[in-house]
Order: sequence, then C-alpha cells, then structure tokens
Amino acid sequence: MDDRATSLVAQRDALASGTCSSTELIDGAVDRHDQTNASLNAVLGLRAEAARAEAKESDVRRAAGELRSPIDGIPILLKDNMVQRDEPTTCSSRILEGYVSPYDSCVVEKLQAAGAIIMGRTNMDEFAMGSSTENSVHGAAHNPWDLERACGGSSGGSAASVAADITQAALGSDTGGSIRQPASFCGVTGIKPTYGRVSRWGLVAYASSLDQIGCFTHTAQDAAIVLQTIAGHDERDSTSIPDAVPDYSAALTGDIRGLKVGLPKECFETEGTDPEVQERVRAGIAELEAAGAEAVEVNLPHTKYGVAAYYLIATAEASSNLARFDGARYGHRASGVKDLKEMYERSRSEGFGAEVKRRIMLGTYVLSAGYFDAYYKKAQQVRTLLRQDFESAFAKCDVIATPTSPEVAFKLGEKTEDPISMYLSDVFTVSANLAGIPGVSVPCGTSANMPVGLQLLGRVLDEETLLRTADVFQQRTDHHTDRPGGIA
Amino acid sequence: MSDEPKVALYLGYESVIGLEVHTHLRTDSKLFSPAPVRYGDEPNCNTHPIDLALPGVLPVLNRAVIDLAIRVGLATNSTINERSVFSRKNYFYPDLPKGYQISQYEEPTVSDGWLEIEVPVATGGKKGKKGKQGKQAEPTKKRVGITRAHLEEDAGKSIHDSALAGSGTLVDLNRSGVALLEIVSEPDLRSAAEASAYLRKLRAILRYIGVSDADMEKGQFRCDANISLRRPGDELGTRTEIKNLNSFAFVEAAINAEIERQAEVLDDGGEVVQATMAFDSNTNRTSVMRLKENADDYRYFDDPDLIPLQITEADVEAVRAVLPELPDAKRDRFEGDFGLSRMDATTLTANLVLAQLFEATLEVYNQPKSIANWIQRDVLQFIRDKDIEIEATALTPANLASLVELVDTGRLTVKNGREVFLALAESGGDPAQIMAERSLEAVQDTGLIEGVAKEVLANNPDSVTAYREGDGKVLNFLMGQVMKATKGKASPADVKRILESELQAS
Repeated sequence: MDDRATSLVAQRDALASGTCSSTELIDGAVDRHDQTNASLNAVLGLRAEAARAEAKESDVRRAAGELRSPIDGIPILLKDNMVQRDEPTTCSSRILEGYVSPYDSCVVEKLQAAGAIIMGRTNMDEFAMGSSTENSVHGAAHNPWDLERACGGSSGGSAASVAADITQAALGSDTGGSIRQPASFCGVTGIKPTYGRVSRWGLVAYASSLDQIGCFTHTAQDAAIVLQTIAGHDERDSTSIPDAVPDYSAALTGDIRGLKVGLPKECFETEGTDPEVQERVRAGIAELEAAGAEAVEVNLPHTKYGVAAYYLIATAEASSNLARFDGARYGHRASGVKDLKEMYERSRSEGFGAEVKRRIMLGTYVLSAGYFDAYYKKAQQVRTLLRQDFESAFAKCDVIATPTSPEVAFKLGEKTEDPISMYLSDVFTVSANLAGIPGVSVPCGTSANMPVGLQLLGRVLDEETLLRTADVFQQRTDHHTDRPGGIA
Repeated sequence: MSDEPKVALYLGYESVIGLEVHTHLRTDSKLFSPAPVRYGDEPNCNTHPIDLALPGVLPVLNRAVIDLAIRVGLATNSTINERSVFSRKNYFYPDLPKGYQISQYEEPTVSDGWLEIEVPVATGGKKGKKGKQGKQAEPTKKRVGITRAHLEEDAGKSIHDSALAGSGTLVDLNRSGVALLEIVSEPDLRSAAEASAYLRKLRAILRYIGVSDADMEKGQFRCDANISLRRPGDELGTRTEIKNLNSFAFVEAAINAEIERQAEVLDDGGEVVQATMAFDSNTNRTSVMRLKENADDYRYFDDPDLIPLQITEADVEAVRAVLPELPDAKRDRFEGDFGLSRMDATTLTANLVLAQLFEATLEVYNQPKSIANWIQRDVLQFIRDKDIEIEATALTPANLASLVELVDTGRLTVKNGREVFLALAESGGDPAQIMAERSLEAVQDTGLIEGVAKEVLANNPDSVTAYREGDGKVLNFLMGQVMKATKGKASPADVKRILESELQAS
C-alpha cells in the first residue's frame, strides 16, 4: 500500500486529527483521477474546480467548529443517473446529451447537507441497463484489476472508481444487481439497501419497482457511514419507507455469535457457476462460522425463475419510464424531421443504444394486449413466490449467503453479442430486487487474480445485520484491503 | 328498473346512450405535483419538474382529492372502494410529457352508483317543436346507473394556431397534471334529452358538493357520449363514441346527429362500425375520427411509483358528516317547508347559489312565494340578459329582501320595483334609498289618485261614454292615463278601484 487513504473512515480520521484538509483530499482525488481515469474511463465529469471551492468552505467550517457531519469535506462520486442541480446527467445515453438538471436528487441534498463533496459522475450502462458498463455512449469502463475486463454494471464506473481509490465512496443504483455485481467484479464492498430505504427522488428511473440507490466503499464500516447519510423517508417518493433510520455504525458490534447463515442449495448447485468462485464463497462462509455463526441449509425454490421474471418486469417498467425521452422537451432531438411521428422515431432511434432499444421493445411487447397475462402478470406472480421463498428462508436464518456472481469479471466484448448469457449472470442478484430485500457484496478473495464477491442478503430493513456480518468478515480477513496492481 | 317508461323510439330504433364525463376537481395544486391549478395564466408558468417529466421526478398523490372523490361517491349513491390503484396509460403525444397518463383503471376509487333524473315525457312520433308551456305532463323519474368514477391527470394543451405556432405546434403544460374525475354512466340513457338531463343533474351535484366549478367553457366539465341503436328487445348494437363535447347544446345536437346517422346506416342495411366520432357543430354532423381497429394499445399497468390508495370507513364517515344537502333533498324541502310548487322548487334548487340566495333572503324577510317569484322572474332574467353568474351581481339577501318587502307592502309598485331591482343588481345599495332618490315611492294618498282620476275622466268624455255603453276595455286606457299622470307610483289596484267607483258615481 502507498500513502493513499484507504478508507472513508481513514479520511474522516485524518480530517478530524488535522493531518489533512478537505482541500488536500480533493487534490488527491483529482490526482488519482488524472493518473487512472484515462485507462479506466470510470469518471465522466470531474467537478475539480467546484469541488475545490466546496472543500475550502468545508475547511473553513471545520476551522470554525461548524461541521455538518463527520464526513464533511470527504469526496464522493455519483452514478450518472442521479441528478444534481446545474450539472449534466446523461445516464450514459446520447438521448440526454446536453441535459442539465434544474434540481437536486434527494441523495445529493443529503450528501451536501452532510458536507460531503460531490466529485462528479461515473460511467454506467445506458439507463442502468447492462451488467458490464459497456453499453455507454461514453465508451466502456475498464476493470482496474485487468483493463481488458469489464468492471461489471450497470454501476461499473462507481465500482471501478472506488477500487482505484479515486474516492473512497461512490453511489450506485441497483435494479437487478447493478451495485453488487460490479462490487464483486472490482473487489469492493457494495450495498443495495431495502427497496424504499433511500429515496428515488432524482434518480432517473429504469425500473421503478426495483431501483434502489446504495453505495460502494472498501469496507462495511464505510458503507454504514454513507448509508446513514443517504437513507431515510422522503415524501417526494411515495415508495419511500417511513421507518426511522437506525444507527448503522452502532450496529457494527463485531459479534455474530449465534447468527444463522442460510445457504440456499439452489445457489450452490447452479450449473455454470465457476468452481473457484464457489470455493472462495464457501471459504468466506467458513470464516463466518469460525466467528460463531451457524450455517443452515435453506430453500429458495423459485430462484430459477428469477431472471425471467426480472427481465419481464424491469423491461415493462422501462418501456414506460423511458417514454419521456421523446425529443420534445430536452435532450437529443433529430434534426430535419417532417412531422411528429418522425421526430419521435428518429430522436429515439438516434438517441438510444442497442440494449436500451432491445429492452424497450421487450417491455412494450410484455405489456401488450393479449400478452400481458402470459408475461407481465405471470412475472408478478413469480415475484410474489420469490418473496414468500425469502420469508420462509428468513424464518430459519438471519442472513443468506451466496456468490454475488457466478463468475469473475469477464473480458470486455465477451458477452456483448450474447445478451442472454449476460442476463443469466444476474441469477444471484435479481431475486433480492424482486423481493425488495437488502443485499451486500464483500470481497472474499480472488480467482485467477480477479476478485470474487460473497453476497449476503438480509431481511427487509435489516441492513444492520448485513453490515455487522460484513464487518465481522472484514475484521477477520483482508480481502477488502487488496488493491489492483494493474494501474498506477 | 322495472317501472321504466315506455321505450321512446326514433325512426323505429331505441337509442342506447352512456356518458363519460371528465370533471376537473377543485384543488389548489395538481393531482401529482405541487404546481398551482389556475386558469388563464401565461402558458407553462404553472409547471413543476414533475409536470414537465424531467428525468428523476416522481409523482406524489395530492391528498386533497381523496375527500373530493368520497364526496362524489356519496352524492351518487356509489361504493367508495377501500383500495384503489393508479395505473399508467401509455401513449405518445407532445401534451403528455411522461408518455403516459396516470389514471385509475381496474380499481377505481368510486364504483356502482346511480343518480336520479327527471325525464320530460316523450311526446312520441316525430320530434317537433314543443307546444306552449304549461301543457307539459309531469316528468317521470329515472335512475341512471354510474359504473365508476376514477381519478386521473389531465393532459396539457397543444396549440396548432398558425398565427402563434407557424407551421409547428406549441404546447402549454399548465393544465398537464390537473386532477380529473372521470364519471362513467351505464348505458341507461335513451335520448339526447335524457342525456342532457343527466349531465345537468350531475353538474348541479358536483357544484353543490363543492368538488368542481364544472365550468364547461373552461373545459372543466367535458363529455364523451357512447351511442348505439337497436330494435326494441334486441341485443345491444355496435356503439360509437363522440369525443369532447363541451356544451349542453353540443351534447344534445351531437347525440341526435349520431342517432340519425346510425339509423340511416341501419336502414340502408348497413352495419355500424365501432369508431370514435367527432362532432362538427357547424354542419351539425358527426364523422369518423378513428376506427376501433386502429385504436392504440395503451399497455395499462399499475404505476410502480405510487402505492395503492387506501380509504377507511372513518375517512368516508368524516366526509359524510359534512356533506352538503344535495339538489333533490333541497328541492323536496323547499316544496314541503315553503309551500312552493314542484316546478318552482326545481328551478330554485337547480343552482346552488340561487338556492342559497333564496334561503338567505328568507331569513331576512320570510315570504317564500314573493321571494321565489322575484328570483325566478327578475334575478334569472337579469343574469340571462347579462350572461353572468349570480355571484357577479350586486344582489345580497338583505337588499333583495327589503326590495321585495317594499313591493309587498305597497310602497313600491311592481313596475317601479323592477327599476329599483335593476339598480340593485347592477350596483347594489339600499332599495329604500334608491326609491327615495328616484322618487319612486308609491302614491298611498287615495285622495290624490281620486283627483287625478276625476281629471282624466273629465278630459276623456268619449271613453267615459264608451265605458257606460259596455266597452270594458277602455278602463285599461283610462288606467294607463292615471298611471302616467302619477308617474307609475300609484298601485294599479288602487287606480282601478277608484276609477270604477268614479265611473259609477258620476
């Protein structure tokens, strides 16, 4: 390790002890960005000047003893689908070229209220549709562990940025695994909270009933701090949960004795899961057992329908959510059109990439008269069954452990011609979104020098147990301190 | 409905009509956004990022509409559903920024109700001009089923006016997202007149319970009509839908035009094709706008950004406790308590403001019949002539009451009372003072009238002779002369009595 701060807690403590200023943290982030981003393409718009100005204000606040929160002055990155006032938001799509938001998302408001400094936006799959951050008008993002490989997706830019230590925290959104899978691919910690725990106000919708904002950090401790900042009820999001937010850091007691860890046999018998991935995950579970947890077998019998149900529901919602990008009010409008129909058709044809078009068409089909019952309605029934699966399982255990992804990061371009195989790699993550439960991916070693992620799923609103378990794991292992050697 | 009146036939067909009414709900802000609801403002100033469908926005239900929907449910004898769900109706149009309209679909807030209309008795045979009033038969009552009433957002307005927009189209989103309630009737209506009676009743109710101003000119109360024809006893025929009828006159004319069109098609051995029709008020004809087979597939599904609306029994009871008296109940009470005729009671209660003026005036001067007469004759005439609402007059219960009392007690003749009334309605004031200023007070002094009468008789010996020879009509002429000489301030009854006695005496 070099002298870079290696966690958000370390940055917080350095600021608190006066060994560094917010301005220095921002300078460090800018330097790190400049060293790495040309090869990673993880960060899209670095707000270097604005962030420096805000850091100065933070340093003034600190000197005056008027800190807004312990993370006042700490840099953080946003996925490019969370709007910030007077800043561009593209969702990695040509259709939003030139768009500047006139308002802040809820998470931006909360981060700024805490004094955190938004460094910029990160690359992603267009409209969060993808598992590799290759579907981006800005070009693919690269995995810091191996630049030939994908960093996962859709929040790949955020995962890669944290893995490369540009910032110690970045927000992502997770609709079917878009935080956990890139966290796994890039060897960082990624948490998707319970659906409704973090407000979606200002998050550009992909699939409204599945989308949830969460964060990337290196450690569970850091995740607890970021989640504390962004979670909470918001009246502007009708699906936001009103329950009070617990003290996540206080939940990290270091003690998981007696914790029951459920192992769904469906997730360990899945064909196509890399044996080495299986091995690392099992080793991780053994570590939890060594800490006093008890492994129990549970059943999630409908897991095998999860991917199909997910792609029906998510695309149906997406087909409607993306109707607003029509060239009429903002973003890309085709030039030289002769009538309204041509304006719609050409603006959307030119503005959307192939994967987005594929999903809009799928979703439109799924909702069409005559097909609705066979597809959308059936998928909703599967969703109910999956929820019941988890309810039964959580009657027997406190957390469920699985691989995050059946494999380590694949090569860029390897799956772009085969969308189905790309979709199938979401098999372990989509169920949590369909059921609305929280999940976290923590690094649990490497296979062929690429990180492997251990996924822990929890009960609705039980982020505390997830974070505590992840923290205990990280107290006992040092996978989370591994850093990619491939870049500067 | 077992005692349904005999089927009215037109050209041998029974018409079957159902109406869909879109009424704006009276709320300060929009259905899912905090933008204000105001009419006549600069285009696009009443818009929030939610109304513009900017990336990242989410709808939040305006809780104020729940109370309004419950009121409509109670006033239309409907079921108010514990759970209702907002869906998305997907289609592309520039005045629909999200690319979908949020509307209740399978689970509306209000369903299964009815309201009662009074139907003019069918004269049978061909439609002709109605005879003189007063020969009308007592109207029959009819229950019209209400299938459902569901909440939805209004769209914006597309402006194709070439003076403003050139060859393009401008969009005004001030109306986008305004709360609408769509009230759908059963196909229980059998004529344009019934349809009109239903709409008037529905609008009166909506205004009574304060849920909507239902101003048709402002587009706050719009109607689509579904029409089919059948031979009596047959199954329902194929229906067409006429869209966007925004006046009572258009509704009646459009329905009649469509009935006629369909009858011609059927008479020629053709088939009515399911279609959406447009009505052209200039030609008084309907024409096909879009065939059903070309209809959009709206791909409805539950809006995942919203949670189901839950309404408890307590919510309903709270609204029931403060629900104002409805038009029918008020009419019955006016009939019973004030001894008004059914027709007077119906007229006075057709409009809530009118009914309120009546009752408030009674509190000052308790003579129901006199006040009813003044309101029905002079107040209604005044607002018709001026084409204004009652609220726009300067009338108050106090000034109207004292005017009626002045006339009733003989201090003003009816004729001069009307002059005072016009002044009151125009610019308000105290009737007694207006009377004094214009020296309109009735001549109470019979001696003075006698003097004038004698003078008139002396100046018109021919008329006196004619009268004595049995020509009673000259009395009117003589009365007119006396009235003229007293500047209308003598009561006609006094003048008549005195003239008669003078004619007999001399």
